[in-house]
Amino acid sequence: MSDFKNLNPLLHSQLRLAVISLLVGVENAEFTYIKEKTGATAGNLSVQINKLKEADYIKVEKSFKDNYPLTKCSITQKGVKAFEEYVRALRSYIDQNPKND
Amino acid sequence: MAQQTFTEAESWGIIQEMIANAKQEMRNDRFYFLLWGWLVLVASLAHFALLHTTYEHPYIVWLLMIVGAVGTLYRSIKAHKKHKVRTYVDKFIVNLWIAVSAGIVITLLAAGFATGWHAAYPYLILLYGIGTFLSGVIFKFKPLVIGGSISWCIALIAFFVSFPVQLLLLAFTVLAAYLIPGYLIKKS
Repeated sequence: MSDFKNLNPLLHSQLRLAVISLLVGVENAEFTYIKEKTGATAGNLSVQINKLKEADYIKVEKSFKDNYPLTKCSITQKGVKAFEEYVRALRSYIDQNPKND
Repeated sequence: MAQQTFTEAESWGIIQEMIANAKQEMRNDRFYFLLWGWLVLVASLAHFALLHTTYEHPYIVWLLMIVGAVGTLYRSIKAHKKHKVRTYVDKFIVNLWIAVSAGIVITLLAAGFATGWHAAYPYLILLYGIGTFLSGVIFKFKPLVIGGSISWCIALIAFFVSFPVQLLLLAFTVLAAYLIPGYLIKKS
């Protein structure tokens, strides 16, 4: 159980993990796309994106498109590394606890 | 989504769901294969037909390619504005076709000013094959992989035949590499 508790707390949160998992496979994604795919509210998503940004896991670029604000997010090298470590830790936890579904 | 307490199985679930969500869809690319497929098919067959008439400028039919260029430009600008996500596959595909187009333009310039048209067609077919084959590999879409491979066989044959036959081979290439896979994309 201790391994499980050692999972990166920044990623071991449903919405933040969803955001990172989404961004790990793409070059960049707009805020509205992430909101749509995760089913989160704009307010909650903003808060979680800020936390990931403060940890340098993601990069957030703000601009304008057709006079509307546009927020684009992309994962950083540090974010990719943290995600890989999280997946590795998760896998080793599952390997150690095969019956614990 | 609730925060903090969730199990490792749920973690896997989220990761898998999000990766599946961001999976590449290739339906958007159907348009380009069909547009260029039809244009090149019509132009090559019309060119072949006009060679058998007394008309002095049978190659004029290739002006149809301007329609393709304008259509491609318009559609890609529109798609770029609409897309909320840019995947690595998107980036690769765009750059692959830029590379293929550069090859085509260089081959056409060389044909017009140096080597002659007869020397150009096998290389054009070869370039079509490269674009189609790699698109098929990256999308994991077999009809494009097969179409690309067929193009390479045709390219080799094209080195040994006369110009009118090359036109027919080109028509067959776009049928196998663009049109048939293009119509199959929607169903996959």
